[in-house]
Amino acid sequence: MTLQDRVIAVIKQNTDTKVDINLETNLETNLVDDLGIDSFDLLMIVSGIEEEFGITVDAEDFIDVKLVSDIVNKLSMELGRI
Amino acid sequence: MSLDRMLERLAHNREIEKRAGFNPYYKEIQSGLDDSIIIEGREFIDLASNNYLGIANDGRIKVAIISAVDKYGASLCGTPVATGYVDIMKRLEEKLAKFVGLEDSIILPSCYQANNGLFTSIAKKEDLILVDRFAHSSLVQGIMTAGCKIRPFLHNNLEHLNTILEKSSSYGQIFVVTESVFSTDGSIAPLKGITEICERFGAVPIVDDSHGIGVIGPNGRGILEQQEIEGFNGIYTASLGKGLANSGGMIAADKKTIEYLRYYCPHLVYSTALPPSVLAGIEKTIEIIENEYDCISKKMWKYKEQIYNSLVNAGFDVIDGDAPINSIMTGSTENTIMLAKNFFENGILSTPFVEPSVPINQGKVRLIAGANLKEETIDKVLRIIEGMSP
Repeated sequence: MTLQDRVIAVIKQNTDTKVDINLETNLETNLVDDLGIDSFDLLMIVSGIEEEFGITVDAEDFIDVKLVSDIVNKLSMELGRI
Repeated sequence: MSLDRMLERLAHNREIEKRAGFNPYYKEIQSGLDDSIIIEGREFIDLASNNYLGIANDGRIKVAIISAVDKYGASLCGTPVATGYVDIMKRLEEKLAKFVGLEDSIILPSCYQANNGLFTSIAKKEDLILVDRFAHSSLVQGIMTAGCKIRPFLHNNLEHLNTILEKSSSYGQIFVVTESVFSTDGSIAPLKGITEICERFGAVPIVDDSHGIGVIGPNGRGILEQQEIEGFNGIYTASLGKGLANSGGMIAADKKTIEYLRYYCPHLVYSTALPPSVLAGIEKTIEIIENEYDCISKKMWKYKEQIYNSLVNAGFDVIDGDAPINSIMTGSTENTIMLAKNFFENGILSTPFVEPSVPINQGKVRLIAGANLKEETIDKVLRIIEGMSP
């Protein structure tokens, strides 16, 4: 699985039933407009990313993400630091 | 000028309210919670308040409150650690703890303060708080003040909770936080399962029973009674202004935990205590529930069922919860406000929930029919719903 695929899988796993599992999600998907994700969902996604990648991140660093690609980019930077 | 400048930075979007031509919030009530209530000079049926047992206007409670005013006056003008610890408060702490099935309790001016003060007092930076995704804002806000790691778990999902706990070994203390009855949809937490999982991982369960106390359980004693949880090894909070129809909030637990909170919960120590009259009202309410729950609650459950069936027959998307709450799924903020407007125009006061009280586009309109409502009033509600379309 690519990094992008793993991030999308984490998003789907951590947003309960509100996000249609069949909804096409790609790098350009807008978290709020397309998926209806709120700040608490984002907290769940960040925690899910920590579990998936075995890292610890500061949730504050992810507060301004808008697109799936923003999460992937931030995560790439985090993983690059390790 | 400086206030104008301040307000320019603060977003207060009233666009939807303008488009709907209706503001469902801050309606000025000009009566008590009787069979009908008065708003803007008009009679309405109250399906909005949390007066589940319908005892907010009970004559016996009013007499108890008035007698306390006669004896103690308006206030003891002090915090509980100073002059606010009136004899009724001590007695009520014991009664409330016993009522919900725990050893001891403290009483605060609101459950919002109880929830905020609790986490400030017990959680440290190195701790982890796991909280149900749909927990009430007061719990979330309280948790945020703790400054430790926060991890939401999927709503009422024991498997997800267990998975997270399996991977969370590097924290000082872990707390697992949930509501008992989720106020916006009426779903009930699997607290027994949560406490069993907490035991296995050495985590402390914390439950907010605001919509459960006085409402659920064979004798109305709340979530611990409803799920037959003996010796709850956790912390319990609840509002005293919903099923208990008065005002204030409580925290209950074992004696040692409560003794600690008496001195280290800032929201208790630094808040002027509830006046004796309110405490006397709660004390009388507990007595009434202890003696009459079985009789009073029958109407509450019956009305819930009747309204549920009526809404489903009319085509509404209603959540089938186990609490005496009917929650209609309305989606967008606009749809939610419009349905509340529709109810209002038909003489029914409802509670619309929009983001951030619920997730984006998961708006709900909640209906709670108190046991004080007359059967003919409920018949009228059913007829109104029949004539409405989703």
